[in-house]
Amino acid sequence: MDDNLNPIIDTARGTGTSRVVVTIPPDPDRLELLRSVATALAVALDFDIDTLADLRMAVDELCSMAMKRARPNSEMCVRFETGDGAVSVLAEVPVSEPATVDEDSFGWMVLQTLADSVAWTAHSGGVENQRLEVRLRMQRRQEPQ
Amino acid sequence: MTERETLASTSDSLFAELAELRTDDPRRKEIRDRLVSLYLPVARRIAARFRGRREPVSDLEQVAAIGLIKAVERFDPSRGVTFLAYAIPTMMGEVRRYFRDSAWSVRLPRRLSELHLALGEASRELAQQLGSAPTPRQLAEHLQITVAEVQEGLEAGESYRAISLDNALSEGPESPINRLGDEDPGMDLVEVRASLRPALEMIPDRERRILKMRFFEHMTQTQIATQLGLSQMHVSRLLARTLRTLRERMSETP
Repeated sequence: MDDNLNPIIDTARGTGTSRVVVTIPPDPDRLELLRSVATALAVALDFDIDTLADLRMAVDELCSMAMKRARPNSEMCVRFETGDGAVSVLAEVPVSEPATVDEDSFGWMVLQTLADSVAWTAHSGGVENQRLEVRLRMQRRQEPQ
Repeated sequence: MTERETLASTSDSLFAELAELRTDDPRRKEIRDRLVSLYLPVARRIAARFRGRREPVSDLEQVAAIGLIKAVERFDPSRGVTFLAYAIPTMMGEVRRYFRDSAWSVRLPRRLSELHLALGEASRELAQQLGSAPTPRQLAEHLQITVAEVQEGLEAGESYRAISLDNALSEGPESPINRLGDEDPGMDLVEVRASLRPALEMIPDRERRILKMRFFEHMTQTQIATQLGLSQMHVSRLLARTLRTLRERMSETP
């Protein structure tokens, strides 16, 4: 755990890893908070401003995708991780019926354009435990100077 | 002949007359004035679309009229679009800019808006020098500020809530504004899903063009900014807002 106490310093060298976990209601008003967390982590990794802006949009898209499918009154869990000059974001929501993501949708296409990789997984496991997970990863474009 | 056709043919002949005159001919002003007064009712209608906001309608009418004057000055009949098709986006752009600027001054503390502007300027300069988008650290060094301040400034530009003006413009499928820009080529190169098309048609031309450049032509934001003469941050703000609008529209009509 001690390694995570000062993630900014660690990640600035592009070597350390850090993890931020945010649990929020699946409400679009919270997107700004999620964007900010992603930005702070990516700034620490010295992402260029194009990639930063892309990441912010991707987080918006990814998380709204999960929010839209979330069970009412549930909680959404978003995990941000950095390591090897990349930011990964994983959003997970409980769903009431088996949820899927349409990979032909514009939203998914946007995500594929913005992020280096995107994926989704539907977890089944009894009605109570059905969850949808969407995730992306974005890599720093160039080596830090 | 409908009223609109009469208007179009009158303005066609006025623009033709204008094209005949030398640039220093005093009659130019007279013809332009006539064109402006011909289309003033359209400017009023555009202003009226924004009724109910804080700004008095008379202010908005003036702003729209400024857009109209600009449109009359810049219109080039040889380009093959009708004057109305050219003037409406110009007037709306003017009103939108007015809202953006006033919303900006109300919502952003001066220090932040100055910082944001400085960052826009610096990112353009650095992008030219480096040949790629700068990082926050490079921006910080360039402006002699901290990386945290850079981050604050970058976020300041996006976090202000743009009043969703586009909603005000999409009052019905019949509005002329929604029919404009249908000619925009390129979008149909891609298989745009049926659900996306109506939402896309309501996006202002410039935003749609940026969207296309980023997601269909895979240009970076800095490349788009250079091509359109905007800052990367402005492109980023427009893109983020367009995506948000599309998301809202598409969730309304599943």
